[in-house]
Amino acid sequence: MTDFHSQLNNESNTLEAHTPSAEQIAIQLDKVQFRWPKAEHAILDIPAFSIRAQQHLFVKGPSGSGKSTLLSLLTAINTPQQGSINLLGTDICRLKQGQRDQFRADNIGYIFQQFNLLPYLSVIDNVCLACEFSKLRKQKVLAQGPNNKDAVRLEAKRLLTALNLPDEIQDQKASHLSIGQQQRVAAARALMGSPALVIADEPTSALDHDNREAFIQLLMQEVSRNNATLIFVSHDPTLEPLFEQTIDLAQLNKQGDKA
Amino acid sequence: MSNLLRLASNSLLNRKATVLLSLFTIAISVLLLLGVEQVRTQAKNSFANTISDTDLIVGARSGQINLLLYSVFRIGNATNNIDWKTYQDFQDHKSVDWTIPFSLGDSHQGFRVLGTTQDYFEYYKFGKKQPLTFAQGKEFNQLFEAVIGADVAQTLGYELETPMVLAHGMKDIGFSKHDNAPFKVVGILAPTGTPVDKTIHVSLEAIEAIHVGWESGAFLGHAPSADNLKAREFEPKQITAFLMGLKSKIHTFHVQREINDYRLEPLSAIVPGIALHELWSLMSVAEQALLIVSVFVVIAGFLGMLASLLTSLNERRREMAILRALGARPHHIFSLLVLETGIICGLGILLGMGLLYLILAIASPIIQQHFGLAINITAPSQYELMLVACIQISGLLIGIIPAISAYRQSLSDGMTIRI
Repeated sequence: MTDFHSQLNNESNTLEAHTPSAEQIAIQLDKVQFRWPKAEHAILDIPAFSIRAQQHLFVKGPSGSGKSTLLSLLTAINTPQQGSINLLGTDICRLKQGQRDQFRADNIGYIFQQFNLLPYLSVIDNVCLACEFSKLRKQKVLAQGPNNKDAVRLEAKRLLTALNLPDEIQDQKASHLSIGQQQRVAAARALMGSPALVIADEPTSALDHDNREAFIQLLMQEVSRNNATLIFVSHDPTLEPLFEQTIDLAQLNKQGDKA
Repeated sequence: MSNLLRLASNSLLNRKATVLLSLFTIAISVLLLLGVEQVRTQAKNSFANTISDTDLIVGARSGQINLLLYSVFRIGNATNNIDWKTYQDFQDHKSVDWTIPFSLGDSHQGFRVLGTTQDYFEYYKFGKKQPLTFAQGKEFNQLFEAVIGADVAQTLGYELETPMVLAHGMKDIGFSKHDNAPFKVVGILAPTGTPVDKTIHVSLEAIEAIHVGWESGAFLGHAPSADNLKAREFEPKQITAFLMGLKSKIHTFHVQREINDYRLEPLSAIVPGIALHELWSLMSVAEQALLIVSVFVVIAGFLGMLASLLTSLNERRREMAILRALGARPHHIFSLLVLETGIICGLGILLGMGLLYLILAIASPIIQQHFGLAINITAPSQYELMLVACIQISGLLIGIIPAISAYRQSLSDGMTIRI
């Protein structure tokens, strides 16, 4: 057991990406081509793309433009057949399967479109889960707060409160929450242990207009506090003005035109 | 590992209804398997406990199982009788410590009558060298006195002083009754869980006395009255078999050979342990059939669990994607599912064993009372623990099937949530 942990520690250390300063590049894609195993053509062909650290980036694009595929590359679930992807100074294409999983656990907070939470865990346990698979994020939490076993829960509570989730729902089962509340819990989990990269895949598509803006404001506020980089994917162009930078995947992806 | 264990147990709690059903299926199959095993060993034990401390059983020349069946289990009939002189010969043998003569052939209401001597109550042992004890009354001393087994007393409702008429052979019909000479009950034996409970014991002399006039095999002559008979002296002419205890067990095979080679009469001597073992192995087909049936029940239980796990897997793709997004590796997903089946299986085994001991605890006094069969509640034997371990290991192995599909799903689905 101790061997396993120390091994994890070592891995975390080698993969650790120090929180980048504003001038540094957070994400850099170079001549990336990706084709699904049985597909004839590449679905993604991105000659060059980069984003500076601590930016809030809005990625727009109609359905089928390869948003999900891009995200699976950025989260190191899939690797491109050609080109390189550099995340926070690490070339993730060169990592082994296990290292990529560890890299994701350590450095990426991910928010799904909906159903982000494990229905059988309480709200607070869902948030704490982010530290279960990453020693690094757990250490960061412990480094910030009181160094005891409650520190993780205290940090989870702090984040939930910061995201306007009242105390009384924090111990409830996640399945009892409204969709808006669930998405905020998901945001809290994505921010646990201050990962350098937060990726949100249409997190507001199930919310109404007012809640949408409020959610994005809260998310940005907390991402900024953590000096993290935010990538926010959506097909809804009305959200675009809220972000400092926008890219249109349909234009970026050369393959998108042909498809 | 501990966080996976917590995840697995929480996830199981979330699916209480189906998980409980799987758990009960496993529990019941374990209960059946261990129950059959218990019945098997207890039956074997009680079988082996039928007779104890007897070194040789001697009867007319026949197979050892036949001799064992009619002398000890009171099943079937003797091929021939033994001359009283022969019996006396071996009674006085220098290696022989004690002998108990058996004279069989009569019955009362379907229960066998055994003619014997007072030595029976002194030397006959069952179980772990337990002697016979009296629940009421005492040994027979007079000609027309009988000592009955516990089952006889209970089934026929007989008490001390109850009069009874013996019948010739096993048929209790009018003209074959020894009704000229009624017996009375003077003793009732405590339950033994052996054929002794179903036996009526009288003296050898009484057997001779009631057969006066029956010498040709059927009653032809004039039946003397009981008082007339009591006035006479009877010496047995023939017996059916006898039990023998030796001064030293070392001489068992020597004496056995001597009996088998006896010149005046063809005899067979058997060692009870060996004969019991041979008889039991005849029944091992039934024993194995029981075991096979319960193994199939366990397999059915596993298939039930597998079905419910595989069905739930599709609904849980979202859960797997969330875990993957949080950095869980495919092997975490794999272990999570194997752990879940492991937990269901482990709890099922514990529940099954708990139920078994509960049932044993409730049933054993009832069985003791009704069948005189002592069921010992003991810690699981090594064999039972091995069976249980096999079930647990098979459970984990079966868990690999859903684990592999979840592993594959989590690799192909990645971060996309399919609903």
